[in-house]
Amino acid sequence: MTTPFRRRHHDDESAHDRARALTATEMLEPLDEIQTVWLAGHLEGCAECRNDREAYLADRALLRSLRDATPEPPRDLRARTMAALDRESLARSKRGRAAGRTAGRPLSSHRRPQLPFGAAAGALIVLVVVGATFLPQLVPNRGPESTPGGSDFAFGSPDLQATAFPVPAVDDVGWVQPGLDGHWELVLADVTSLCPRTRPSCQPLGEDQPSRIVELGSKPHGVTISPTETQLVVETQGQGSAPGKIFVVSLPPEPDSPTPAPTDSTVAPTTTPGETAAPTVVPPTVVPPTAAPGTAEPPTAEPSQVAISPLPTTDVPRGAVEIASGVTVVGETLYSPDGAWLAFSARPSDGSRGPDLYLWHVGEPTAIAVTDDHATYFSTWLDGRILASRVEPVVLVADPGTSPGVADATPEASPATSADATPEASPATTADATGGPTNVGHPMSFLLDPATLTRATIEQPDVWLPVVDPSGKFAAFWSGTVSRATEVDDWQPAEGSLVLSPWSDGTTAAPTSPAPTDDATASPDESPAAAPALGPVGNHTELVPGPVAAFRTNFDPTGSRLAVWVGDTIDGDVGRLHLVVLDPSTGGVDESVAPLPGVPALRRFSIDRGRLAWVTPSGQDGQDSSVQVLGWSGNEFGEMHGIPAKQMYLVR
Amino acid sequence: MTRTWEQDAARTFVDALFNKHQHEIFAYLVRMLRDPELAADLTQDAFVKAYKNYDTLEKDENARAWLYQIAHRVALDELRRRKIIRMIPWSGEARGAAPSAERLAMDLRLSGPLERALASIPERQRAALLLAELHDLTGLELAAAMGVSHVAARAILTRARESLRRALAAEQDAERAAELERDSHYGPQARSER
Repeated sequence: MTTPFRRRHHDDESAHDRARALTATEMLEPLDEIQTVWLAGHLEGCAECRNDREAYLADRALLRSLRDATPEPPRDLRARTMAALDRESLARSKRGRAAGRTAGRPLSSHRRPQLPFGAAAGALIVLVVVGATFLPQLVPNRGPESTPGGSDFAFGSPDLQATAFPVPAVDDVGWVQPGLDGHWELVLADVTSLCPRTRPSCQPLGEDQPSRIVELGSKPHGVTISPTETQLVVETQGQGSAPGKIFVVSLPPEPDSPTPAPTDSTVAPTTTPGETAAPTVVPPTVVPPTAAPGTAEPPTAEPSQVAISPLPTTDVPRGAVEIASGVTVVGETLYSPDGAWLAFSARPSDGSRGPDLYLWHVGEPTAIAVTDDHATYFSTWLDGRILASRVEPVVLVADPGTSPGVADATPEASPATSADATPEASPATTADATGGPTNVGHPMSFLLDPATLTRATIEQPDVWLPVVDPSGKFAAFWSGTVSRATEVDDWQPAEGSLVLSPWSDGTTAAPTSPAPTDDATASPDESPAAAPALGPVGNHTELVPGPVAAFRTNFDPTGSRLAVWVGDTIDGDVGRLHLVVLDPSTGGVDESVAPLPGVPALRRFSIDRGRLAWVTPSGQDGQDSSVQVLGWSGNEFGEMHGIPAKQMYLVR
Repeated sequence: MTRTWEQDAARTFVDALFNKHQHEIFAYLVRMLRDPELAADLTQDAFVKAYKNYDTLEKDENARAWLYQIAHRVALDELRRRKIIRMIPWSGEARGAAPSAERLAMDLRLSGPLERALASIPERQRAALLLAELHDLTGLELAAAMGVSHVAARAILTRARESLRRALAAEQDAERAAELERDSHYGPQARSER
């Protein structure tokens, strides 16, 4: 199956929508210079938008005429309010005395916060916001019998008239967006109600969701949230002499109760936010990667030599822990499912070398490089282990009797025969008569235990960046060779295709093949009777034919949906996102359902229970990005569109 | 009665808030709920809640937006309750009192096309319009009052302006239709009398 690229952009409509939004915003607060210029230009050529603007202004004048008839409060309002405050004050005193007696100490010492008052008040505000975020999921709407005092900070339910498609079991979506004054806002939005795809008007995603302020420095390149929601990992890219960085920012812990106690039970968080379930595993003793049988010589450099030390810098927010500096993340940054580890691959910010695999043990001061071949790419986590790929450059064998350039580049040939493929060999960009590495390579994938650094190699070559479904029976990966990019020391897919394949964990029988479509990519010595080795088995189903510049795939927790992102360029973040519907029992693709045939999307999408979320790229005319959600219940699909903003980082 | 220093500070602060903002909070609640008596009750509730939750106010300079946040939630809670019990007729008269002159005057003020249009748009959008245009909240204050991000607040306000525009157009259409109907009934009669 091949998922086609289709464009379904409505640029004109978007421009008018943007003009309306800016017109409305302009009436609230000044626009920035870019917005002002864009709006003026658009209004000049759009009579309809000029009419909209005039109508808004007329309505505003009409609205403001209501100021002439401002209602006056009844004369007894003061007396009754003061009486109510007296009653409440008295009640609090009684409750306080009772609590003081119970605790055996005076009320004031019990209630007085240990933190500075401002900090305690700030923490409470955060608790309010966090509580309000999760309240709709945890607490049903109060009935008419609920007391006014009990709903002080309960947010109202969304405007239900704008949504019509309930999604009973769906995970929330999280993103970071810019606020004012250089702050960033983290929004965790529930998407339990989605718009039918046929309805053009819908309540924007996140409209009803509170946000919390987070300090992420000047401009992140990527943001990742920990599974326990206690940390954000922020990636920045180096600019000029400033190195790229990776740092960790603590988030306030989720409160036990989503609403603060309305009375005098001051609940000030006294613990420092952090991972409470940090394992007691000793940080990894860095050892050179174990050479799998039949592979090239292991790197000789001690990984500790490339471990990155934290350097205090001004663009890292106060309180953040800088775990790496001078590097640029390549691909994904993912926590292990238990939140104890963070894995990513990164290369030097100056592009002088290719990427290595890094691990950060939560709580440790720095991330540590656990490879030094400069050609290892993190793919994903699989059962607590890291699934990664590395590249073995094809080496030209010098043969004085023939013309240079006899490449030993067939996939069937073990990369082990392409000896001298160590990083020290400094792969040449072109072959010469004496032989040497070429710009073509064979990817090899492996599993790595983060605690012991022991590897399990996937013997089948040309498996690049595999992602395995939750059942462990199927995997999506690039099946083919890779080639070296010219701009940076990086590798990208070359000959081959993006495929879906049955997968074996090496211990249990692999499932049957889905649909026999491409025998050429099947494992040559496949035997149903043989004990399946770790890795792909059987025939592949082609998802996207090569060549592709970059890709990313991920399954939903049920294994019945596969999201496929295909990038426009190797190191760019813009591409197209597809959703493939699978039969989890057979791994076959249901081609009759194409809920998302390819929409413009940034690389970091998020697929979880019942929904796929992504961020649209900003337009060339300055159009902002927005979070989009496609949700489903069975084979019924609905959408939710977020509010545009200049930069958005999907974190969940 | 023994009070702690926090209670004293809270009470003093809320008393001052009441003196300064009672009129605008009451006006906001009247415009949201279209019921002055209920608005008075809820204004009282809002200030009591402000007292109870004084600890959640981070900075004194944010007090106005914080107070509007409390009033806004009180209003939304009330509107939600109304939806839940909407099958049961409820009005001020049900309390056993005849409508006051103040109530009648307010009813007159709240019965124009603009008020009807405002009443027909979603509550949160109505709140955003009222807070921004009649109560002069800034974008940040609006976000705080509505308990949403700044971006979301602006988006709600944009949608509110569009909703109001459509609602006003519908009101005009309805008035025009009513005029035509009147003409069709009384026009021939008037002409024949002439």
